[in-house]
Amino acid sequence: MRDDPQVAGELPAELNALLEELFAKSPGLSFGLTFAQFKIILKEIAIKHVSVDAQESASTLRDFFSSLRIDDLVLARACAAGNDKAWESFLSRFREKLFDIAGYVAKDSAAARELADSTYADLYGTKLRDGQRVSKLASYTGRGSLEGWLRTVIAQEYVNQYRRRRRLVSFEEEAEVGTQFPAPPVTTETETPVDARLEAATDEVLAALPPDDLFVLTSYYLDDKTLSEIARTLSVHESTISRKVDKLLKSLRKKILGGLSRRGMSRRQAEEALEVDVRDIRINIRNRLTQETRSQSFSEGKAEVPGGQ
Amino acid sequence: MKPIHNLLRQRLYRTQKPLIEHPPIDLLSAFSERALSGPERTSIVKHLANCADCRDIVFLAAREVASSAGQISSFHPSPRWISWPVLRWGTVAACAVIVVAAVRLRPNRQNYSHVPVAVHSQQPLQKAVTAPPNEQSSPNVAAVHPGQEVPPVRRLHNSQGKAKAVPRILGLPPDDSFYRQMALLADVQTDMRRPLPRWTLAADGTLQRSLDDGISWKRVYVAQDHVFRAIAVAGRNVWLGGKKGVLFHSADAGQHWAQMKPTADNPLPASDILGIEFQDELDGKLTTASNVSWTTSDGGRSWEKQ
Repeated sequence: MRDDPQVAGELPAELNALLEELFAKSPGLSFGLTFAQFKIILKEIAIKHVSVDAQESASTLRDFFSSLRIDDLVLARACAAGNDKAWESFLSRFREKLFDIAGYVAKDSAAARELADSTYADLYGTKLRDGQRVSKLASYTGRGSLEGWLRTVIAQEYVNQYRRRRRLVSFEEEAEVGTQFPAPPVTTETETPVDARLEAATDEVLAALPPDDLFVLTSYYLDDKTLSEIARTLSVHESTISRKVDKLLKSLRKKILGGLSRRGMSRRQAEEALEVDVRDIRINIRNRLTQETRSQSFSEGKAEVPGGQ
Repeated sequence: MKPIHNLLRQRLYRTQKPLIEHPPIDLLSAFSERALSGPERTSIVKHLANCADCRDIVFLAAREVASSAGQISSFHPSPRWISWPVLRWGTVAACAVIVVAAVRLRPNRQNYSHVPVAVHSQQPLQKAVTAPPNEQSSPNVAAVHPGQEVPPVRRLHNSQGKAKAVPRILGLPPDDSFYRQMALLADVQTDMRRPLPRWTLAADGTLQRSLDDGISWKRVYVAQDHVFRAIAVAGRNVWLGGKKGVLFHSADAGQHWAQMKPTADNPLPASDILGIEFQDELDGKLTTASNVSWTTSDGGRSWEKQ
């Protein structure tokens, strides 16, 4: 634990009272959790998520503690500690949901079952550290709902399983298909650079975009996500995303034209440069991007994504 | 506008970096639930904009909404279909359909009242269908035998397989054949209203659909990371074949897809499927990369190696 100001030491009376109140409202006691344990859990979470400067402020800490999903947190931590009653409650609330979520993520009943089983094993904790069972539930911090967290854990597990599976090819498949050799790189698709000024102007405009806009553009153009998928992820209406993409395109076009003008192009030259389809320059960008993005998304070589610990 | 789309794709791709540090799972889930604000949210969005891995996780974890069927891109604003002429003629057409249905279904009700009535148990990708009068009931079909009285409620199966009762309405006949006929009729009418899409496979092996006779194409999500190499269409049935013998079928013009899995009794090719041909909804043939042909005579439920 870091030697942080307010959280590391004894909490002020006001915060202590708040934690007592939160604990009293939670099912902590019935799951065998003591107030001292509860306090340590919350302090650890605050140290992890609240910046050191903000830890000085009692009001920030109060808001932070109040925003946590205490009931879910208490349940998850009690399960991680091996409390039977907590497990009973967890299973009655989430057993069905776990399979439903896995089904939605895997889109196939056999894969969904496998996914739900392996997630359940992680949640229960099949690995031992210092003789203690390590449950993934111990990493839940109550920042969002426990169901949302489970959904994300399952999605992560699915991505990891996908990577693991890619490394394995069955003998039958190999026998039938024959040994596979990678095709030599297609020489006709050598990349001829677009006008360097156009690239520079576009990069400049993209670099200046707010993260939200960049996220929408990347999801739409690189990941080929639909407007509704992006809207669902950002919890907004689809038409909002549609308007945003439309507006962004217009604004990007205008800014790129401006950038090209600043780089010495006349208005007409700039317009012409923008009208040249990059695909005409012997590069099938769409195909390459789709393939490369896919392989990058689930690449074998990368470390297993987001820790969660 | 198309050139700028491609330019953006190219330049955005270059912004993607292989990131080593990823945000913890609880922050990703909190982001999805809009539980983050201020700098925390900004840093997550910034990371997501550059990290395809975390974007995949966030998109997969996004909650499925029930209203997905009504999602229409506002790039192509839908026409004002609720206009007075449509309502007027729609009402007339609906009345005509009800009258015709009532006249035609009444004799059927009598014919069906003493024959086995079956409702399929839970099969998420299929709509409930009525078994023909002389078809034997399969193990996953709940049957009511001849002479057995059908209770005056309609039994539906929910996703957990539990039956729930729907009360009778306005003195409709006690057996549920009328309800099922009406349900089928409604399904048919709904399906008939939808134009049959056109299908194509992109060079990268993704499925694309056009609802406007090929003017615009939209990518269709069938399953995660399958590369498709062959497609066949017969009426509302669509078969999709691809790498490593992956085979999908849709019986409702691409609304739902089911992957066909090999079993001990019903093997499927393990090598890439390169061609599929269907003469009609039942008889078809597929060819694999290892130059082996497989045929089916039951709409792809079972395949035989030639």
